[in-house]
Amino acid sequence: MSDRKTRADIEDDLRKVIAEIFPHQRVELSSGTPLFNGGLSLNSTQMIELTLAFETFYDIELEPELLTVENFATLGSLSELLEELLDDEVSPV
Amino acid sequence: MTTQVENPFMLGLDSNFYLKDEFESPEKRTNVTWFYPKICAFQDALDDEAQKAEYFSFLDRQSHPEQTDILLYFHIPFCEAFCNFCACFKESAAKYQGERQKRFVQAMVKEIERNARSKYFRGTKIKYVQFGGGTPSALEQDSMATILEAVHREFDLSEVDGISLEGSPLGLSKDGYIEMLKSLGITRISFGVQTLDPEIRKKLTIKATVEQVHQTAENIRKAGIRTFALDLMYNLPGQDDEVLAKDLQGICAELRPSFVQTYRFNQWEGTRLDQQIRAGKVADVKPSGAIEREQYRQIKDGLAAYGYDKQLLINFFTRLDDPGEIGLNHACGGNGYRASYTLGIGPAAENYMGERSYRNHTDVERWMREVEAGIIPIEQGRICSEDEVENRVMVFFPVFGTVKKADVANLEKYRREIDWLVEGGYAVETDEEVTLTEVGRENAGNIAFLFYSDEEKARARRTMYLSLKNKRNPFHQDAQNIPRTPLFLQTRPKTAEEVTAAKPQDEGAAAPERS
Repeated sequence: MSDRKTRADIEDDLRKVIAEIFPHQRVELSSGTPLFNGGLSLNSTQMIELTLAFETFYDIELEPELLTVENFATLGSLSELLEELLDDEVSPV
Repeated sequence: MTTQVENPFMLGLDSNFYLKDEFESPEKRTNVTWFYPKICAFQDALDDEAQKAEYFSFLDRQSHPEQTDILLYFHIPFCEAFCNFCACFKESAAKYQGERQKRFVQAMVKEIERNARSKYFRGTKIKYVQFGGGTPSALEQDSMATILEAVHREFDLSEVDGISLEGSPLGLSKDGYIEMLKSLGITRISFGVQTLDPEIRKKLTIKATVEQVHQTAENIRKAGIRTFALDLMYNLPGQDDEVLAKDLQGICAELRPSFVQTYRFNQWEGTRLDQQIRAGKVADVKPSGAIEREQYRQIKDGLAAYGYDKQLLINFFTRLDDPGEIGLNHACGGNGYRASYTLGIGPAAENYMGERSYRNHTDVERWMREVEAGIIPIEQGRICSEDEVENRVMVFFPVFGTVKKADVANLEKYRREIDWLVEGGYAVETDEEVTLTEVGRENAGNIAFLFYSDEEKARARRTMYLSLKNKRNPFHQDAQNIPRTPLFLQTRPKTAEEVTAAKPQDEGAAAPERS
């Protein structure tokens, strides 16, 4: 069985991570849910806290250059970014 | 509802400011920008001596451009008492008495001499001198006199517009202090009243009494100091409209300064007051974005009613018809909104020398050791891009309320933002200048963000990320204050392995197949 995570797996993981670090948020998180304005309404600090949390979860390190509003626009776009990063992690070199 | 704990420095990153509702949202009114571009402890560390020598080679290689003014800024980090809302860099004055204070003063003099005698600054005419902190008046009289004498001796002050000092009634009310300052050329004194309400002062742990405030104001007037400015804060915990009205009356009708400087209350994360508000220990009127906007308007109207109807800067009001040369052009660090040349001396002082931005060590002991050893006491420094240096004019213009088009190197670069401001009623554009309207001034901080470069925004994100990752509080200048514990560290989520290990053995077998 492949270790590779699908986008749906990653979205599930992110829902768990978000539920743990922001226990009071009550937003139903779908792929298209915005993480900033509207939707989850993260502020800049929370965006970074979410980053630190999924770095721990996956044992990866994000390049700070990837902390863009585009990558963090929605749960889906963040999952897409993580899929690429995790893909790089498991790819044979 | 409490004020959102939001760092205005970062706010522009997660707001779509091109939406009018977002722009004028009560919770999203930000501070104006006083320093740009920012320096970051992690991205701009200058810890290698060779790198530092290269960075500072300009001091002995070239002379200062003649057409630009220089602001001299002295950071005196000591406070007699800490106010619980303050996130500024500060150190206990009680720790620096006697011989230790003498050592500090000697280091200040040495840093003054090193800079003044460098090729870059030799013979340069200083346009304005400012003592800030901390609380400069926390220094003993002879200490302050020694520093001021060194400034006069080492720098050319023949064309200086003024010498300004921030103080506290605790130090300024001491016998002879204000007279000493006047005799050594101080032309402007300001101090923070914040509020005259005794209960709120107690809540904010402001040690000076209301009586000391009145006495100090009286002493400044008697001494004939040319410019006397007082700070008034708004949106403080417990400061309802009635209290604010009394504050305005007390400051404008009784204390009668020549200038009033207004400051919104910022609930900086990690301060003692922030912790108390979060813990529910501040039960009465809490600061909020909505109150803040209302009180900003109340202050403007109230000040005007008492005759303080000339708004010189975004937060600076006077009743004088002719305010004279009082250094307003140096509000953002010298040279008006071009703001490009500030020489900072003392622990944590920031420096802006054209494209170079650098900051002295915040640790007082380390700063003293390095000065004594003849090492340039800098911990961070960067060389800014042309784009960022160019942006300064537009980032700072909201502080001044207007910008002359002739002073903007590449106006069309900002065409989208200017058009948006004009269409939204925030600014008026003529052939000569762009000027903020009343509603524009109310949103001056947000307007500044429109002109941040993408590079600066990206750097700000990295600063936040690296600060939290290194368990440093990105909101604090204060190395001695409370370190920030990221929410992430308080409630660390499980790793994927921990999640797997925690699952019951048969859970996987019993779970239905994912379709």
